[in-house]
Amino acid sequence: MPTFTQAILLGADRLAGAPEVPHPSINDAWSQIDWSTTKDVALLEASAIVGTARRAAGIVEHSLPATDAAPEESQPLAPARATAVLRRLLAEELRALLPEWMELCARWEMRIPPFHLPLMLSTAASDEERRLLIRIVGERGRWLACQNADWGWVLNNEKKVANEFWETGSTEERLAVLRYWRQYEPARAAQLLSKTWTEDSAEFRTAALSLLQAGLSLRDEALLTQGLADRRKDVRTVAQSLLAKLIGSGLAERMRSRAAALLTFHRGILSKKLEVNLPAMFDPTWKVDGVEEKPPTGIGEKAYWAQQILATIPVGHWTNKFDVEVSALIALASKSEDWGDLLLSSWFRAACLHGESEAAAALITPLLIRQKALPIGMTPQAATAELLRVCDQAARWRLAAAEPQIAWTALPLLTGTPTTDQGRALFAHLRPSLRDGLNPGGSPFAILAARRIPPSLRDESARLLARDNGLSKPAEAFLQALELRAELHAAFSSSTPLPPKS
Amino acid sequence: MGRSWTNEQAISLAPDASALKTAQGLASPRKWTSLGRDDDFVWGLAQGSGAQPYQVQIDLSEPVFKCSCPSRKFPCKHGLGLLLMFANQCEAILPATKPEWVLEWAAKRAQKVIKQENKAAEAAAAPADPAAQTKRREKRQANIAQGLEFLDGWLRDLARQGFAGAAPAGYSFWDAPARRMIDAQAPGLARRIRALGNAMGAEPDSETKAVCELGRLHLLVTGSRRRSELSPDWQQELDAQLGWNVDQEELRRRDGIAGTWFAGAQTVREEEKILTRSTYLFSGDGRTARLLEFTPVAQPSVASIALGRWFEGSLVYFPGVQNLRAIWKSPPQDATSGKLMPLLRCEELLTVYGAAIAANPFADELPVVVELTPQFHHDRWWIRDELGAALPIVASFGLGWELLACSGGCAMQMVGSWDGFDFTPLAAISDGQLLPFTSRLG
Repeated sequence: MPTFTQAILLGADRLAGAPEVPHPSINDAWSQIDWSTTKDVALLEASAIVGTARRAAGIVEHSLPATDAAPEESQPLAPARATAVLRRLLAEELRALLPEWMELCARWEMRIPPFHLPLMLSTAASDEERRLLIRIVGERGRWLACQNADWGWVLNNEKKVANEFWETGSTEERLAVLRYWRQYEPARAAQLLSKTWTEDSAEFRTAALSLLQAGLSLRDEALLTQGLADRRKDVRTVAQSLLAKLIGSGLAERMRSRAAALLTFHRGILSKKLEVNLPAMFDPTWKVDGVEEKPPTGIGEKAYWAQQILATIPVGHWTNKFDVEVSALIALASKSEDWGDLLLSSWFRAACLHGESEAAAALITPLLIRQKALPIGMTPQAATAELLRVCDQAARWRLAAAEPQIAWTALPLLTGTPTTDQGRALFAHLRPSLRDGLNPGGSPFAILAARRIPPSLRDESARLLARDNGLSKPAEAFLQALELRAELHAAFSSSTPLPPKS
Repeated sequence: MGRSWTNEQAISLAPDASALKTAQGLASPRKWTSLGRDDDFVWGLAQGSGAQPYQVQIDLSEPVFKCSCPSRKFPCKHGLGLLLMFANQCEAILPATKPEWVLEWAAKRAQKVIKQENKAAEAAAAPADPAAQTKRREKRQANIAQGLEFLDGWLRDLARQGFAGAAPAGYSFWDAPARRMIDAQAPGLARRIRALGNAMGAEPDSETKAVCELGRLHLLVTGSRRRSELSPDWQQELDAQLGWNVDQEELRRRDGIAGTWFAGAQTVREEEKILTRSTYLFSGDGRTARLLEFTPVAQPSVASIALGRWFEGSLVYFPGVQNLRAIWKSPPQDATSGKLMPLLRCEELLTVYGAAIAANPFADELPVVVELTPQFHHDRWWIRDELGAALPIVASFGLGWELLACSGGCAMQMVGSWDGFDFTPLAAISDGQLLPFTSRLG
């Protein structure tokens, strides 16, 4: 006898006899169907019976294990007004403003309403955001994180990085192991890497070697020297940079003595002068230390050798040796017709490599003027961004407020709250292109700009951005973001009379 | 009478997400001058791109918008922006007397309302031409009878070839008979045919759901044939299933069921260029009702009931067999909070639904309030009671983690619907607030 399911699938024409009743509970109704004459009608009737019975007969599942409830909360909930702002900030375009919401919530020691926890946990982009979130997820957030492996970072579960991953894991997993050990036991990471050094791929060697930047010490010199002799240029470049950074390493010492003859400083009565003495020939020992003999097009070979050597030496070395201020040294180099390009390009690399904030700050404007000194293929904006990354926060704000050309490039790197004067100065530089709607980065960058202007300036900015034919789209986005920020601050501060803990 | 509109209601008027964003951008006092309000109207001047500001005003009764800008959108961004401001930042709009340009429109509105009321009163007083009515009705009955005959044959064909033959069929296999039912003035049948077509393709459980739809279509056809043998209630139920409209004015004159009702959930469905908004109401003594509003897709209207609030009023249920559809006898009043009667056990839910199906096999999904614990198990979400019994949440539900986060592992009051297979959560009540799960703009 066919089953009912078979019957309905194949159709009445192919039905041999009456199908069996699908379930004893509908026997009575089923037995009244006449299958002998009109099988198609019988099948329709059977469908009506089965369909109705099936809908009425839900089956309850019993195998679910019991779960525990979330613990009580100790932090108060963020106020309703702030939650209303949060809902708007979760939209894609306004996400740049979300970290500020989280910061304020953390400062007031409040927590996120449970409904928004999953979305915020899943979309936390950076380490900074994750650190903020951990402070404001509350017991509910931690309880949720226990149940979803993707959110393990809330509970710091990433400590459980197993060593087996080093042998058998994917590239990402192995790099994670290295990163982890580099943080807690740097020597161990170097040990692991040297064990498998010869077998690993060139891409892996390059990525892994750059991780040694964290916790760099002379213990790493042996491994890095191995990298210096590598077949692949990428690996050699990373090794050379790290060795140059390592004070006391053989390479650093050798480069210093080589450079001693290259650059001289004359302190006359009326003037000071920098002079570069190009090397006469290529010393073979240079090659071992990663100096390339053949220059690219656009630069002479001797100048190329000098540039490579100078690029490994921090600018601070020269200011010490010549007993001059950083700004004076760089100003001097910029004025030099013969050597300006060479010195600026070498010191650009040196300042970035050694993280010299003051030198980087001083180099920005000269490099915008003498653009031939830029590395080949690098735009002035990109170079400015790299140098700004090396500068400290105070320098970044100072430069952004002082130089109109730098303001937009500096925006993504600025952090913290400016004073009203700083904000006004910054806004003055951003305003012209914002008003015309032609600012770099369009509306998204306009919203980023709104993060760095104090909300108290919004009426003033609205007036200054107004035009006869209405606000440009980026200007509109900027003002809206500024309004939201004002609302955000008001929402939190109006909820409690107490000032926040900072 | 002073009407207040919530942020959610204002948002529901936006024709799309980008219109909402623009309106939100305009909902800030710095963009307006001459803002004012009184009990019935809100108004202001919005600075646009032209030289003259736009005169924007809202009649708060429905609401009705009027703006002097050239936009053809309805409502325009100025009107929506003003309403959003009114809903969220009422303090920014000060009570004032109506200026000249508002008085003008208010007067016209008052006249229009009077005219409408007169017309309705006339229509109610004077009997509509009974002969013409009867003729129309008979014509429709004849069309429907023809449609049912066709459908009968079509169903039998389907039964003969079986699902295996019909499943791979193209769109026109289902579209053609559905259109025929529309022509036969039986839209309810058209809807069921489309539902059957959709059920054929869907996984999982696909032929089970298709069997359910097929069975119901068959019952409709055979039931209609035996119509004269059925009780009046059943005759009205069949009419409703076929798609006959009910005279709502006449319905309002019947006795209603008074009580306090909680607006628990709302769904919006688009079908054949019509938006159907269903609002689910739950009373303090365990009753359920469904309010239906139909608007053309191009002309959105605001939901006249704010979700998450209690209302006091009388509902008149539509005729039929355990028909959940109802309308207000008269506009409801805001009420202080009441208490719901949620179902606490899974077996209870099944029993209640079983009884509904037994009384009327055509019953759609049942709106319910439950107090159960959401849980993730075996790659899907469930609702579980304290005895450990659980029922599945519909697989397409995308906010399971949100549900879990709100519940904190404890039983939580949820508004949802059960269709015999899955539970669809529509809202959760957490920390005294209603959190809707249906698609939210803004």
